[in-house]
Amino acid sequence: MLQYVIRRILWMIPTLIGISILVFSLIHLAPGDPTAFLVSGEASGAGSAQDNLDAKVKKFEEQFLLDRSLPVQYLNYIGPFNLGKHGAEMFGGDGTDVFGGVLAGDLGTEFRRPTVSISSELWRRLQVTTPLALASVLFSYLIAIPIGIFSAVRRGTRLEIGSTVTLFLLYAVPSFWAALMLQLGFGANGWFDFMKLPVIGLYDKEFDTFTTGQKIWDVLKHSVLPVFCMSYGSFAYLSRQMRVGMIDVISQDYIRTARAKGLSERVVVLKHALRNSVIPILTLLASILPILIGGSIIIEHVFDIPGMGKYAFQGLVGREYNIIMATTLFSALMTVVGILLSDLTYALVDPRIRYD
Amino acid sequence: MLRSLVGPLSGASLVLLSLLAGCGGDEAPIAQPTPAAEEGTSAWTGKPDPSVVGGPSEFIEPDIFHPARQLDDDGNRPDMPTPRYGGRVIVHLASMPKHINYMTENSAVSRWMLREVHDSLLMRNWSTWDYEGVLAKEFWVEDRVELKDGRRLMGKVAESGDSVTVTPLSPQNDLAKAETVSKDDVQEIMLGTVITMDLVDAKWHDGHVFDSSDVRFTWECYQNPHVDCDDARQQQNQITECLVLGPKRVRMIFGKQYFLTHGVLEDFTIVPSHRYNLLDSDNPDHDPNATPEQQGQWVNDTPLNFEWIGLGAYKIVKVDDQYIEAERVKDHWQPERAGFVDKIRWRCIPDDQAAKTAVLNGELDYFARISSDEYYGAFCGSEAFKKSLYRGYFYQPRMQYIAWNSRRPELADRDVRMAIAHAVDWDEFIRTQSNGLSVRVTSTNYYLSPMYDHSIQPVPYDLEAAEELLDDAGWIDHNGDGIRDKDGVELKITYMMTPGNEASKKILLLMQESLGKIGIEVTSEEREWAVFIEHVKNKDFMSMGMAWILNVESDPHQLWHSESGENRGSNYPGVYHPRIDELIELIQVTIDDEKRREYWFELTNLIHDLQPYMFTYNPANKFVMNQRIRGFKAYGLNPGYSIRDWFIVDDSTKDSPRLEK
Repeated sequence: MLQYVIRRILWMIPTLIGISILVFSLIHLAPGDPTAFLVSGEASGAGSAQDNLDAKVKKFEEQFLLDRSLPVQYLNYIGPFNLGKHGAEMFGGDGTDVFGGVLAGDLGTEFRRPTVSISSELWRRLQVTTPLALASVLFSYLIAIPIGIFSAVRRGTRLEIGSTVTLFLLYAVPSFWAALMLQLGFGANGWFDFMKLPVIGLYDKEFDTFTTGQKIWDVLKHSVLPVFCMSYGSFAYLSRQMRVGMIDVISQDYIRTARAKGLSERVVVLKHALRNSVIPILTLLASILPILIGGSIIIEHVFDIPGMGKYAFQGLVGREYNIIMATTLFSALMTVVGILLSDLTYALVDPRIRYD
Repeated sequence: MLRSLVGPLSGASLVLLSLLAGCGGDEAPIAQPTPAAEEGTSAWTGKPDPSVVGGPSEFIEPDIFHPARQLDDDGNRPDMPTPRYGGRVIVHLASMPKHINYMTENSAVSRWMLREVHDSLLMRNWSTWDYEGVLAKEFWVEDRVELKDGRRLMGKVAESGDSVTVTPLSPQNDLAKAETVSKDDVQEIMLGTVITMDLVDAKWHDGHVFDSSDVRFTWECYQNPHVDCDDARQQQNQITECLVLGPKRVRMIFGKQYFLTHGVLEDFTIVPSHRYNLLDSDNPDHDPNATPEQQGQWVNDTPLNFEWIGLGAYKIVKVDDQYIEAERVKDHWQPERAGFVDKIRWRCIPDDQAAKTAVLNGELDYFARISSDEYYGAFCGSEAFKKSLYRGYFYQPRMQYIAWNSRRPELADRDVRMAIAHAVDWDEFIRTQSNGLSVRVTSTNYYLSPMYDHSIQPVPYDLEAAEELLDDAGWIDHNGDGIRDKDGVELKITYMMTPGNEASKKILLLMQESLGKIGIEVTSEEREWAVFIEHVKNKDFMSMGMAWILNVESDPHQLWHSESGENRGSNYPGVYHPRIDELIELIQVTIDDEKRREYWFELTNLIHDLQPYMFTYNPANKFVMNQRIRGFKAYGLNPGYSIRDWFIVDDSTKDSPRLEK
């Protein structure tokens, strides 16, 4: 097992390198030059200003090595050696800042705000996105598992068909549209205005003046709609998985035996069947989490939540290569780790599965 | 002058906006008594004409849009309530500035914030547009005479026959009295290039006294190549000397005669020497051995750029990734210029839809990116809106245009461009698409500027004239497919736009319909903003729509000089005209307003005749505001309003003395 884990971890390295090369190539090949956008886009040449503009462009390109070949830029980004003018002497630098790049724990800085480290910004934003994602996963399971059980136990009834149709309808509703509808419904003069649920942001405008308790309550209130939006799409998927698992289990001999012993249906389902049928969807947890973390772009945008999704969007729109690389690589890392955890969870919960 | 794409500017510059960047750039008029003005709620009480040009504030009434100030049944307008002190306003920002130090962050957002948290040596009066001293409590403008023997005389120059008399005006002038010299001895006369200023008795937000050393240090920063202020340096380098004449007196000397010297001083962002200057012993980060590079690095990267220590009526108290908050300063050196509200919060919400939700739900007090459809449609008509908000508009100096790339053979002929201008009915477009809330313009000068030539009439809608021009130019539909052609090339125009911008879509449809009538096919090419601007800068487009944020007067070099047509300059259409270049250079050195006006008029007539742009209109900036906020007043200067006019009428405020909370 340990060998298997080590092998899988080692396989992650070429996988991530491959992803990083792919993403790096794509963003550089895509139209939209950050120099035009961030430098000359902000300044228009006028007379002698033209020389000034050229110098500014040159300085910007030198600062971020955009004037170097793509392989050099990539190697500089990956590290561990800084290939810039302050980098190692063997690479033509002045030796003041030898190490750099991802392998040296440096995700670079933003183009627009060169004093902002992407590592710290990413960490700050993850502290916003991760709790929301976890809450969303928890909420999804809390809703989907009972519905899945119900669907399995009451197979073919009108209620089961109705709930299934409803869940699939929800599955089909685009999250941006749902978010806007929720904002209308719960916002000023909306149908549910009386519930006083905040429809924008993660904090009240008076947040600074709140006590700790009030702050917690405020964040919870602000999280309700975003969490719902991030969750409802997975209700159908998870509940169907739960349904299949439950149907599979309740057709087993030991369940028939339990029923034959005269146990109530409630005990049979909730005590004997549930434990085993829930295993498959628990293993899905590991693979859902990275999707939620990386996939919150729309929700964070609509609800104006300063999380990682919004940061990734900001990077894409602003041609901030370092932000795009960092957010993409982070999502990729989470995905491969999630898949590994998922596989390991299978083995842990089902002794029949062995990894050699 | 360099200017930001995302912000406006200074006394001397232009800013470029994308029609599509959602700048609410869909319509626009200036100053017409329009059908759009409901119940007499026009920000302008009359149509501007040359007699009011230059001083529009007299016909702008404050608080005119508030529901409580609409005309009653007898046609009377209720009075505006007495301003109260206290409370907080939350103003929308579409993007966060890199920081607030306008020296190194040349963006409109920084500049607008600095209006509240800082002051300049000179500033245009919001109402009269005249430059007046702010941090300079008194200033003297003098001419400079360079003599062949190396001496330099400063004072008011009067030429008479073969002699030149220089009369000193400023204190501490080397000349004790007027001196007359022969013209034969004169090397050069440069008018208006010496400005001596006496500084006010003011304190920085941290209590340190403001004096000449701050001004001198700031000038040194602009001279220091290690300070990342390339945009500003271009302008500020015109100040070749900054002489400290005393603790409260400085003299600025410009290297050459220039018509916007006052604008340069308006943009001169003074930073506190005692915090920014590493060589200043008062600086907690004092380093007597700091090199210019270290000094430059410090100015570029210091957290003080966000935690701004200024001289304005408000000081920054909190900076977050989502908002910046400023609080009114106690004991401000000039209490009559302080505002009414205690706090201003600039809240950044990049997505307009989210911002509209925020303003509807009380999270924002002011939002100014409203389209006409929203202004006249469901958004402003909803019960939720009427319950707590109101709407209004004002005219920020702005000009929207469609640029033709004359480097492309189809658009190289002036007659083709003129024919296109004849074929589009902009008056109808303005009437139907923006309820008349726009004003046709004919040049890149601000419509209300004294330098705007009102005698130039917009190209009239005339399909016959358009067809005649195209026929004469040799563009004829030879094969009967409905599209004109010449030498085997069909007259097809590609209009570059950004995706999802409703304003651009409307303009595209208008052009497709209008130009289709005269045998020109228009297709669209959608480009994401980052790609769009790359194409524009590389002159890789056929036609595109954008907008300029203007000043009362801007340096035309940026837009129309041949030099700006190369590389990444802003002469996007490719205007290369010797007389235009000559006029631009004359404008730059002409101090006399009347003479310069003549040059401006000739320049704008020439450009209008060339039609490198389809000059369209100056749009109205439509805003929505919380009903708690009163006192909104529109100005002809950017950003078009001053938060210091606003006050709140509710339980959070009181009629206390100005600076008492």
